[in-house]
Amino acid sequence: MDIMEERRGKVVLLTVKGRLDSITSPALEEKLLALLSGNVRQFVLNFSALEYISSNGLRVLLMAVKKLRPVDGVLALCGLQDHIREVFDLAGFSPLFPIHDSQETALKHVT
Amino acid sequence: MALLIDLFAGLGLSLIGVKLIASHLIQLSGPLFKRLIDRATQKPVNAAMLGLLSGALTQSSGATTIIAISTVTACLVDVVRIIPVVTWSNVGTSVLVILSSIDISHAILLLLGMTGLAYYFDAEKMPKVRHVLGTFLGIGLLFLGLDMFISKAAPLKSMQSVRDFLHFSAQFDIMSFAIGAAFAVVAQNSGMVTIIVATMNTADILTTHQTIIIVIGASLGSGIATLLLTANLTGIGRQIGYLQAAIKALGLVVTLPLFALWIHGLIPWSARVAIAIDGSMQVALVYLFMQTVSAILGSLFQQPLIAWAAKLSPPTIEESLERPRYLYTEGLSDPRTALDLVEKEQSRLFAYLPGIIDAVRPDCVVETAPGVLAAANLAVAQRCDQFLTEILDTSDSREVTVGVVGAQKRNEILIALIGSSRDYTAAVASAGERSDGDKLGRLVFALNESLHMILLAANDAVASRDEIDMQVLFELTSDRSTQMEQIRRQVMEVGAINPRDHNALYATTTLFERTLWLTRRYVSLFQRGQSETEH
Repeated sequence: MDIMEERRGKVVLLTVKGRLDSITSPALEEKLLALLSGNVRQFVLNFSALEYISSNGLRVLLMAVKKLRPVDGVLALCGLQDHIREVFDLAGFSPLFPIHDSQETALKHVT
Repeated sequence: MALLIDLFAGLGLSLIGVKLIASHLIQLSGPLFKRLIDRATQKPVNAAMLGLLSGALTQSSGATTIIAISTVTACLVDVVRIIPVVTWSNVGTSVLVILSSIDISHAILLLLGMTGLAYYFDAEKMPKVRHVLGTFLGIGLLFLGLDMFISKAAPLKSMQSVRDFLHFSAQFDIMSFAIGAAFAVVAQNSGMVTIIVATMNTADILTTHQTIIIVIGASLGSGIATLLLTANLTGIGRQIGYLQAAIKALGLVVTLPLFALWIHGLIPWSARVAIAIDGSMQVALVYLFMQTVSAILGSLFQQPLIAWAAKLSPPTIEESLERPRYLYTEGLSDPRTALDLVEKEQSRLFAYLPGIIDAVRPDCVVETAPGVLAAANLAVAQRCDQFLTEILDTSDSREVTVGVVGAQKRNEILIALIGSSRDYTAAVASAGERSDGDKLGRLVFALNESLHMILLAANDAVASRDEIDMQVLFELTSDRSTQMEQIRRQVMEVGAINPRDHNALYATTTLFERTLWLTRRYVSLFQRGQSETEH
């Protein structure tokens, strides 16, 4: 799994490539925790190159949402492939995260 | 020939008697034993008393061993607490042996007459009386058979061929020993063997010396019989079988040299005692002595014996999982602590739920089959339920009653959740291996990962009781009926679906929805406002 980080003003854009499973998700968790402790409150996660997500990956995202809620932060997702979107829908994530088709609309949403 | 038939009939009557006594007394004493077991085994002395009672009632150390195994495997008590019961049941089996050496023929005939009358008036149709009557009939038949044997055997000793055989076999103690061992293995009861050979001794068919050697051999045979009886068991069940056999072997090793000295008159007073006490009583006392020595040695070496047996037959994975980690009887002395223990046990079970789902997730190596894990967790949850009832018995406090009711409610949902998770994995497994592009395969994958994540999140919420954790969990577990219905329709629209896939689709989506609903209900009991009123 690769994570690419870009700053767009106050927003941090993370592009995740590959598999988000029990082995790789700690890296994303670490990255998000580091950014959160650096007072980043607006995130966009581009999942267009994400091939696979397991419960461990979902749990990392859930952790981020829980941390952002009390500080009025936001985490938006974009570019989900159909099979990934299916997992998110069944996990009940759709009401928790703003999910957008394109990166631009997601960035617009969080700013 | 007629003589042999008479003897055979006498033996047959005795055997029917022993069988009737064992089967009816087990029915009578089994529930009593299980009721007493928890209280009695808290102190080793009381446990030994229970063992004596159980041995006397069942007249079989093998039967007590099996009952003990069932109570340990049902997690009512542990091995350390049950061993004194098993050890001292051997001594309890001496009661019938001692009785048979005393002339109680008139009392037995009276008992048989009364039992016959009771049967004539259909008293055995009353459930409470049936086993008492069966036991009386067994005792009557046993002693009637023994009496018949003694009275018919008189001409036997005057037969030249019999005298020659006895003279021959009396020269070889090892032969008598082997006969005793083999007889006890077949009969699975050394007490019964002792009664029969003591009767033969009274009838002068066997010498007292021979009879005693046979009784000693029967003790070894009884140990072998216990090993055979528990041979098909694993883990703790087998462990108890090993312990019982070892206790008998220990007694044999110590008493054998003593008997050798006794038989050869090398112990002071032995000759005088032999003259003063008749043969069958001597045999009965030998039996009692052997059982008592075994029990004393078994009690003295209990710890190393248990460690040895546990090494030979360690608990199975199922047995380890079925054992509560926090519930122990002593905890009941303080009802509030006991309630905390139940909560810890329930939280432990709740944390196991994602482990049940793991079995059907890709890349997950599971050591225990989901069915086994679920069955073990259900057993612990049921033990929690019993424990809660026991807490109620120990306290009249309103606070404790309210706490128990709350914990019972949690337990009820927990049991449903374990069952639902188990059924879910079974439904997923029924869908079989699916390819990545397959619509049902993709759905099942998404359901698995989602359910797994939600159960982990629920566990976090229960552990932290944090408001945000709870809030997020409730959002994740909101009503999914419409969503599931849509998914079913979408999958069906893709194309024709075979009956197996159709069933798998309905079962997985329904059980997913049910598990989420139960999870939400379970977690809601831990909400701050709720916990104050519920607990």
